[in-house]
Amino acid sequence: MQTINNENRLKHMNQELTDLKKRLDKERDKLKKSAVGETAARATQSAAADFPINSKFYLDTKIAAYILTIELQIPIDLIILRSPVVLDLLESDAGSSVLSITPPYLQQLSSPNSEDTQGDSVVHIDSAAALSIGRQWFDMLQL
Amino acid sequence: MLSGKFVAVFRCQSKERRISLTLRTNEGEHGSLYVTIVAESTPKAAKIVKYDLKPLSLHTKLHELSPAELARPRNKMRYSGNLQ
Repeated sequence: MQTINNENRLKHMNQELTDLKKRLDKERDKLKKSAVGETAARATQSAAADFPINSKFYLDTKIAAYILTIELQIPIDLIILRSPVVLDLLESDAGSSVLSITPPYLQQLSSPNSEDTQGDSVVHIDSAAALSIGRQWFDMLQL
Repeated sequence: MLSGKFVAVFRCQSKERRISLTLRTNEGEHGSLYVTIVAESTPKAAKIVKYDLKPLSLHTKLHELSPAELARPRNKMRYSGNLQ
């Protein structure tokens, strides 16, 4: 009796899964189609830019350090941390992500413009790999 | 543009959705931490989140002192006389 029930449930779940996959494909197609038109592309861009972020930044008093956690519903491509203050990165739990820290003497970030948080900032990064990441990031922001 | 003393880049390779970091600040130095988050979506999108680093960044409020903390030596100042 129990096994039959379980089998039924399994069937049900599988059905649900295929339904969800179909819905996902449909939404993807919609996005692709709408991205063809210029204005539509803009609309999807703004929609895509609005991904929800679940982040926390708090002081852990036991270790006297701040803990930053970032969680997205879609995979993360890049995380760039910048601060005019000297910070020590003590630990990072980011799976197999590649970390690159720019030593202060290589940072030529001074510019006549005042601080700005949005848009066309350029980050100079030391290693070649990180440079390509920066470029990728820069290109993307200039879309 | 932001003049910086700290720049770090994480490039995720295996579709991580969660990232956790521990950062130590220097007490007394204040400013902001700008975190640019780029999601793996098409079209690509980024968001910039700003966190404040307050001047006494490693201080916290305490509502109650533990017995051990209460037992610590403290300075005491006593006034006596006609205080007007």
